[in-house]
Amino acid sequence: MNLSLEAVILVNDVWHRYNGVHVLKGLSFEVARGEIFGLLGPNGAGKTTVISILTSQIRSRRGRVSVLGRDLGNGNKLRRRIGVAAHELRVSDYLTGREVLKLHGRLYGVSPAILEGRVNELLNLVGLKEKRDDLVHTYSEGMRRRLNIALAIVHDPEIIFLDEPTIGLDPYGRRQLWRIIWDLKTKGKTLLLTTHYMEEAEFLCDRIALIDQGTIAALGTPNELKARLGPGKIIEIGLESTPELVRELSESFPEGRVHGQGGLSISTQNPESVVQHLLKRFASDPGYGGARIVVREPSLEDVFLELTGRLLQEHPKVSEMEGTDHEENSPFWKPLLDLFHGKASPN
Amino acid sequence: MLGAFHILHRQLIELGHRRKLLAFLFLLPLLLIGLFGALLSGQNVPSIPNSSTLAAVQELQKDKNLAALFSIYKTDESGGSDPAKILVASFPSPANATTEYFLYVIPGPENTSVILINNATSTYNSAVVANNGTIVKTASGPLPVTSTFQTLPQVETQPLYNDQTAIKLARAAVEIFGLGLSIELGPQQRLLDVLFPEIVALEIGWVGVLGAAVTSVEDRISGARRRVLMTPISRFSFVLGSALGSFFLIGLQLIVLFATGILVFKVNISGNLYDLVPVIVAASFSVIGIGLTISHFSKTPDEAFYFSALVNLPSGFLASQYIPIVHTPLSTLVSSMFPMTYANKALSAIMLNGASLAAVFPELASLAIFSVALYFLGTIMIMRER
Repeated sequence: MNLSLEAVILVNDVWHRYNGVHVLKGLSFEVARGEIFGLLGPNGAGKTTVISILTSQIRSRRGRVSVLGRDLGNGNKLRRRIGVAAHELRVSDYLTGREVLKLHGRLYGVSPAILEGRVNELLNLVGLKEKRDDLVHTYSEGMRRRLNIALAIVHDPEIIFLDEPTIGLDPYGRRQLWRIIWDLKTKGKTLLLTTHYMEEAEFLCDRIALIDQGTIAALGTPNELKARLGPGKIIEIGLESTPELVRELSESFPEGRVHGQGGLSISTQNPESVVQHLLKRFASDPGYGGARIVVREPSLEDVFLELTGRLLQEHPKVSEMEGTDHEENSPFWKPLLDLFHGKASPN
Repeated sequence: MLGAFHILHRQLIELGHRRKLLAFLFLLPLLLIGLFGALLSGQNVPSIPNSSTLAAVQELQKDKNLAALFSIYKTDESGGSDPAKILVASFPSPANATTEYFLYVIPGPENTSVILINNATSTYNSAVVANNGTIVKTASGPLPVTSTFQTLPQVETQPLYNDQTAIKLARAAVEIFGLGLSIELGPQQRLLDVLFPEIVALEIGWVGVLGAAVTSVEDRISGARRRVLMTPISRFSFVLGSALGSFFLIGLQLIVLFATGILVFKVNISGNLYDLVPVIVAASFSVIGIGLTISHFSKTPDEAFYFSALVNLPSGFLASQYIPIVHTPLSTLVSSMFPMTYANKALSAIMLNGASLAAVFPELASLAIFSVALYFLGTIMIMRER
């Protein structure tokens, strides 16, 4: 596929610095019309910063960014053509789901004649029809995330940006959202999503950029990325990873690669002989009795581990220029203020 | 600009869901007017017909009359000690209505000095009246020439009509001057009527500053503002919509306040109600601008609450919202920096004295300048936020 002919998002050598730290270091990629493109990486890799730049919330310090053929000089002109679902729903708690959608539909300039129908259609799509007249603060996390996606598409945009759309959801909630995202793709929408769930990226995305510390470690389809490991299997060993054990296994299996991050694993093209060797080794040493051995196909996690030496979900959080966390204090008049704002006591 | 109305619409819908807040918005003015009405509706205050304490005080604040006044006082009292307070009033001349007489009464332990100044002719009449009512000494002549550089003592100024004894002595002195002036107590005003403009100003000040500040901080920390700004709406329209929401809250409260005051407690509004509208609009956008600016410096609604009180309390006292006071030159200077000072003056003039919009033009113009400056300051502050 020649992406440059139909690319709707173009990111070329983009750098961004926050609080003196480079969060993006020369990032480059293209997204084709109609594809689901995933940015897969650990927390703090720079994924949200990329979305913030692409949606004109912040400006990149260096490099070229183009969305739908427009350089991002004037973000306002693009906003009607793109939809954004931030990693959490940020709306007033004192509006119902339907009111939130109608408000944003109006702000996006959706014609009043079609807005009502569109809102009802979206509430159906995200499974919130029954709860449409409930205040948003009564919604569960899953419902909030589904409303967040409905909000991003209320104006029928060409490109949809989803920032960690399923973070914090249970497997059922996650699958519900995957279905919605897949529906959007079938309607011809272009989606760029960030995630640090490898199975999500693998299931949803046509192409994935593995992003780590502000750079792209690898880019391709899920199969292309996994092919980087070569033919072979991953053997997971249920033992505590120690430097001595990693060294010992590395010496025993020079043809494979031994990783000690987040548990012991060996990537090898000859799994049967490795397993036999391990069983013998463990049988001869009572200290290893009962150790579990699992042989499985390589995953994107393994690719990431192979390329960066780290796991997707082990990194400490680095600020992604998000959030407005302020200290919470409770002065004596706080209940009065709560009363003023209509926040009922949980009691 | 259409976006601003969508934001206003959002504020109104939200208000509909926040029943306790809505109830509070109705209860606050009801509580205020109910409390004041029940406690004060039977109380009257004496007033001097056709008098304007304000004009006399303003003349005094120019220091011109004050310097002359002290010079006359010192001569009359043969160099007596500095006065502790001066009671002031002004009257139009019976011969020429455009000429204003300024009456200053300086009470002492044994005698009271009564000095009448005509700035148009630069002349004065004075009398020293013993506190038993006997005239001790009279004098008249051109106003003494005084240096503008002389040091003047700090002195408390009060309206004359609050002091019955002083009025009695002043009346005796003015009769001696033979200028045809008379000081009559005239019809009395209800204390509630006198306080009502101040209650109105109090509502505008507190609801405007606090409402705008807290709403703006809530929008920021909840992320609702950030989400809305992902749509094609401009930041300017967003802030305008929020400000219109705060203005709506002020308007709602004032409607309740006026309706209850007029219909239940028979508050007398001397001037035209429509003349109040531009004053209320300008005052509201001034305080909303202050609220928006406060929100920029507040991380939480709690902080916004504290900052609002920090601005409102001194502003309220200096604008005479809580206690009707006549200012010293210094407090006048400080209070001139608060928009509610002008709002209070204009509201009182229209509601109590029946002044027309043209008569309160200086106050209205000052308020308009404040409202434009403060609103845009607040808007710029918020537009700079990320």
